[in-house]
Amino acid sequence: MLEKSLISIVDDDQYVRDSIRRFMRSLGYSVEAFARAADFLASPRLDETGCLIADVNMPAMTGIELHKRLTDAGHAIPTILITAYPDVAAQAQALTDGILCYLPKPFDNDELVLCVRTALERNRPNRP
Amino acid sequence: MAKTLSSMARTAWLPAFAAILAVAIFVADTVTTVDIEFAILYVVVVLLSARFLDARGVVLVAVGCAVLTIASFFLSPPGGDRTAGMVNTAIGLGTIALTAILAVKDQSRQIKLLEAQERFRVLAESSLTGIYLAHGDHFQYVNPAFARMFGYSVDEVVDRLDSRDLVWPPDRPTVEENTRRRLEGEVEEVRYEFRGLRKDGSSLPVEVHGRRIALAGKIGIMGTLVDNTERQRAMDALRETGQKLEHAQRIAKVGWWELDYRTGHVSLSDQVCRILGVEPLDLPMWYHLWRDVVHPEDRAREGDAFAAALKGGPRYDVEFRVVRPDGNVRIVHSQGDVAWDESKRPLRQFGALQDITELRQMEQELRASEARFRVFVDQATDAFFLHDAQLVVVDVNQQACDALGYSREELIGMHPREFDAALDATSMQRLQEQIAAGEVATFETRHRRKDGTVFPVEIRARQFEHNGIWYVGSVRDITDRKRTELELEERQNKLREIREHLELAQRVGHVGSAELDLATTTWQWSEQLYEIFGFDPKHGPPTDEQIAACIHPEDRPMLLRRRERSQAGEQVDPVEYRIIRLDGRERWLYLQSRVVLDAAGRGRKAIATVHDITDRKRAQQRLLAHHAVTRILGEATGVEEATPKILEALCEHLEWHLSALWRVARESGALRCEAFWRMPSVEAPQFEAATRQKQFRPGVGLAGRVWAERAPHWVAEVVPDPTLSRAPIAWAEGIRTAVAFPILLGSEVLGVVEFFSCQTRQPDQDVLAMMETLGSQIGQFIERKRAENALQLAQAELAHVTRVMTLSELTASIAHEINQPIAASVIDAGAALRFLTAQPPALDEARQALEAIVSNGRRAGDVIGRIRALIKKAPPRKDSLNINDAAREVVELARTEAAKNGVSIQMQLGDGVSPILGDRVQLQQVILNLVVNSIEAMGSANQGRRELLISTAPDAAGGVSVTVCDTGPGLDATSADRVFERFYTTKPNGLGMGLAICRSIVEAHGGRIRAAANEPRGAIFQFLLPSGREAVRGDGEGAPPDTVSGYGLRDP
Repeated sequence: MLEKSLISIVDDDQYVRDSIRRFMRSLGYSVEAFARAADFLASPRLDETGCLIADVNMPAMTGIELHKRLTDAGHAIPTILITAYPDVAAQAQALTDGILCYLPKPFDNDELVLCVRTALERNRPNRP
Repeated sequence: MAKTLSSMARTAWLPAFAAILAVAIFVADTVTTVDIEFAILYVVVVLLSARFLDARGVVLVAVGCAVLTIASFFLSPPGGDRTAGMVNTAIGLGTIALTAILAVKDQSRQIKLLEAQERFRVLAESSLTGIYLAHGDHFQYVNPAFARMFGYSVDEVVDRLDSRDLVWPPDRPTVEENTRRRLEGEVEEVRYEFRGLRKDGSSLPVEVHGRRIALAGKIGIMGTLVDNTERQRAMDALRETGQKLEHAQRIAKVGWWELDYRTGHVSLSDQVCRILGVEPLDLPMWYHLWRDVVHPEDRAREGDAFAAALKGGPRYDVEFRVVRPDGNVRIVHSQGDVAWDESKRPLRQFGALQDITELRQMEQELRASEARFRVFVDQATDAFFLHDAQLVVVDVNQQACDALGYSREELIGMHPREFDAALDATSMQRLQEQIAAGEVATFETRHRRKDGTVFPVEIRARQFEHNGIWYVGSVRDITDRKRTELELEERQNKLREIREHLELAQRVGHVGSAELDLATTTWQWSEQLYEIFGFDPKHGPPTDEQIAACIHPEDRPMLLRRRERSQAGEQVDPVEYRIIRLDGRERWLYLQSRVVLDAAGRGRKAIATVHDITDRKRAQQRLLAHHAVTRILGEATGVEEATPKILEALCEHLEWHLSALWRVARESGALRCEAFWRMPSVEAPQFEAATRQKQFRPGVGLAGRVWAERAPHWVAEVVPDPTLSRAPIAWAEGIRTAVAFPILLGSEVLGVVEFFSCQTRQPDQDVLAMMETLGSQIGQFIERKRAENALQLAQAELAHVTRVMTLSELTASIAHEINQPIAASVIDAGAALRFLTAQPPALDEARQALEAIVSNGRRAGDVIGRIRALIKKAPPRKDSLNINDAAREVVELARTEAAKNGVSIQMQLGDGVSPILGDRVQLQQVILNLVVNSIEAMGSANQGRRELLISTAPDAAGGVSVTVCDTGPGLDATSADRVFERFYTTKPNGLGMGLAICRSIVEAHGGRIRAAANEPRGAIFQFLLPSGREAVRGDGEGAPPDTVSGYGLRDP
């Protein structure tokens, strides 16, 4: 089995997508970025992904829906959702549904780093 | 003979004398001896006896005498000469015998003479022929027949009458001439006729046959005379018979002919001559001429028939044509029988000849006629069947064959049951009986063709007798008729349907129609019209007077004028008018009519449709009433002001004459009349006074009842019930109907409204429903007025909240747009820091991150630009609008907000402000934004009066300026420059977008906006808009706002 250390980013906003990818690289992580959720689902490296960072508000499939699809398909990828429309109720619901972190934009970089590390940590106990 | 003798022996003494004589002779003879003398005397006795006895008697007498003579001989005394005595006796006996013989002989001769005389006399006397003997001018003898003929008795004629007296005067010369000729011996006898003269003066035809005779030396005339009357008559009759026969022959064109073979003699009757066109001929051997008369073509045939008859062959009986000498051709029928002698040789031939030309022509015509008839029958469109008594077909025409597909030969002998597909034996039997009763039976059935197909027919059959019983039937194929009948029936059904639909439509549409004879003013009404007017159709159309009586008095003159114009031939416009039906209901009618003109161009009749528009009218009235009340409620500032107006409006629109408003007085717990209204035309002073004074408790009186029941109540018939306080007064003053409804707020009754009418009005559910609605509407109005302040406050709050909501939506949108680049920048900054602090530092990576931050910053700026551009680029509508109207509406909207902040708003809207082209909503947003900013600015300040002035004025360039002045804190100079920049705000919760947007809108309209300080305090905001003729600028890049020097700017 491959080590699940890949970080996948799904965001329709190119600036945000590029900046997160650059930031993750600055931290030394392997990064893949997708503009649409469907592209990520079609990715051959889906199983390598140890952490998913997704925007909530995307046209075709929202981050919430993407997470649900992955969960339903048996891919329990730790997921970090980011949003420009912070909503307390939505946040609470997301966390209940098993979302790791729910970050309103703009967020503190350290917060994101913490979430990513937590996500990657979470994968370890499952490894033989 | 005996009679003759007895008459001869009339002298009775003769036998006695003879007997005495005989006795005397006997005695003398016996006693004497002188023999001879006595015996001879017996001769006398015999002769005497011959006078009275017949021959046998005479012989007996003679024998007696002889016996006496002999007796005398023997009795005479003896003596004498015996011998001589014997001789004497013998001589005596001989003499007696001789005498007796002679006497008897004489006697028989005399008897014969007498008999002849007697015979002649009887003959003459009993003769029917008149017999006469005349000498000179007189008759010596006439027999009774003669006398009878002339009406005389015999005695009157003989020796009395002149012979000429018995002659008809005109014939006397003839008779005298004939008499003369006989008397002079010119002729021995003559026979002639003349007319006699009877005693009674009449004439009689007689034929006389007389001859000259010499009687007793005198020349006379004896003759017989016969009454010719009978003969004359018989002759006449005979002549007449002959004439008749001749006539008959001529008519029948029959004559006779006879051919005598022994003499070769031909006799033709006159008629035959006429038929043949020849002169009467009686020529021997005429027969040969006969052949010339016969038509050449028929000559041989006729000759053969003739010859055959003579040879004992068939009887001569032949028809042939003859050609008259004049060329005329006739057809004759000649027949005759030959008479034969013992040796079978023909004696003669007698025959009859008849002209049958006409007969044959008639036959020919008959045949032609029959042929024509046959053609006629065959060509008839109906099929004809002739049946015998057993109904078997005897003959048919062509049509029958064509219809049934059989040949005539096939049909003849068939029975109707073989081609009738509908009638059973019983039906046929019944029909036959019906027909036998002399009826012409008409019935429908179906016939089956030879090919099996069946078609409907109508049969008319009857019976007739002509050497037996026959049935004749004419059969008509009614396929087409059936189809037509079906179609007709369908059409009729459709028509009936249409009529029913029409009636239904009239009923449903409340439309009636009528026709009015304008001259006699008599009507014809459709069924629905009766319904509309409430007349009973059974009584027929009402009279003009009855109709006029129904028309509402106010509408009568109008309809009368309309009628006059119609009568004058004018087409008049439709009208609406009212009727009051016999049951008291008022109805609104819409009358449309068309006038039909007579030759003189005047109205002959009017065809009218009458539409019952009561419901529509009432609905319209209700709607108008409702609308009026709503408007009154909307415009009124208080209940007191609204109430009388509502009563008046309802009365006018719903046609009530009086009304009253009752309000519940909380302190007394009773209804008190608060307002009373009456139509100017109606007077009811006592009722009004009573109403104003009364107070009702729940359940008492009409108002009290409505209060208690919380529902409208309709009194269709006001009765003078003394137990009710107002009813007798109302009734006395002509009030007939009352209705009341409660003013409700929820379930609470605030008051009661009453209406009264001087006409009887039946409950109208729609009116009641409307009143119920009005009741709650008025109730709500009262309640609304009651809570007006609170409501205004709530409205102001609402407006504020709405405004904030709009701003927060905008904020959220802006936030998201700006969030993205900010978030990206923060992350990139973090990344740059990481790259720079790495060992060794990843400079390229760091540079890329920093470059990303720069572009994200620009991106954020672009977002704000896009929002501005969004506002600018939204293409403004280009309506022509009046800025004054727009400003007024904004002030109305802001009035609540102003009141809340204790700000009074003044308006100075300039006259002569020309319309501009622009977006009304956007410009109103600008004005509203300025007004609200001012109100809020003044609301936050504590000092001084809070006044806001909105003014408009035309500017020099034909545009318009709008200015908002306040008495708020005002603007300082710095603020005045920046106030229209985006995100500039001095408010704690302000976004700083309002005035920026205002500027964008104004500039999009090609205008300018500026701010300045007011004197002595406050701010002035003013924007200028170009006239409608200038193009509206779309780029939004207007001139920068002028700063009005001297005006202090402040945070808006």
